[in-house]
Amino acid sequence: MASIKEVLTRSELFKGLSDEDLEKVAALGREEVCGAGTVIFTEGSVAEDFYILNEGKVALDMSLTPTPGVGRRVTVDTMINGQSFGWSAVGGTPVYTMSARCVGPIKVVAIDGKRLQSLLQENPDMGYRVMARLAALISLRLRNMRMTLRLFHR
Amino acid sequence: MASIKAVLARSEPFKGLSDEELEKVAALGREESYAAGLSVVAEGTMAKDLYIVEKGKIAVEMNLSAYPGLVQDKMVEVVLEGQPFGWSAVVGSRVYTMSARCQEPVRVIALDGEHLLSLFSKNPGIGYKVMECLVEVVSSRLRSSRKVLLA
Repeated sequence: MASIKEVLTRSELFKGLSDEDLEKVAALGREEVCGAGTVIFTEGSVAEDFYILNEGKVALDMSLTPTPGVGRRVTVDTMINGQSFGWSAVGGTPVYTMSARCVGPIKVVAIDGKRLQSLLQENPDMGYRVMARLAALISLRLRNMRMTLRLFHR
Repeated sequence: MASIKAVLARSEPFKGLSDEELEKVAALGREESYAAGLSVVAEGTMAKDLYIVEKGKIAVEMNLSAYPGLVQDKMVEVVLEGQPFGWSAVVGSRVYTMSARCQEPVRVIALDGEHLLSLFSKNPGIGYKVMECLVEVVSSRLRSSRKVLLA
């Protein structure tokens, strides 16, 4: 099985970081395995962990009602290898904006958001690169969410 | 009239920077004025500048139309003094995701995105602080857009 550091090396958020920086991030990571159908987190709940997908596929779902987590849901994005989800644990209001559901069995690396934030703060070089990529990731999420939800807008 | 540096020192992305750091950012800034009703940035156009509101109020609007050429703008958020808009100038594919329209006469500080990005690479401490703030802005836009789209 790939080490946590190897998973980070291939991830959209951490690839290209120095070996030393990767070690620091890897030290915060835990490997987790989930079965098909497992909901890793629910829209509207407190965001604690940030995830990097190592194996499998994860659907990001959003409720079609004004209240997060209630009623019919629609998939607004799908994550595959190396992609990250649960960004609310790292920046902005720490409440998940979408639900993450395992489409099949998956392997992920989970990282505590608060500990990652302090690591980035202490290492502005790495902090800048990671935060810039995180901002790009959220903007992509915003775009995909708009395209999907627009179909349901009256 | 306040200097560009003084406006930046009070702004969300740049407050807390040292005097020296503020000088570097201020050197990239231009002051611009817009009449009420004008658009400062238009959705879908190339994102050149990041803006800080110096005075006045900006409405961030999203086009809900599914048909090319048809515009159906809906307000997503209001941007107030000291807050940034036009974040696409330094994030991702560099195309404005929404439009920004003046709700009243507005004065802004415009900062060239490309120059900002090279300043950030040379001074990652500044880059980190600004990106941390922009992550918050983009995530807030996402939350607000969701509400508008599902209203």
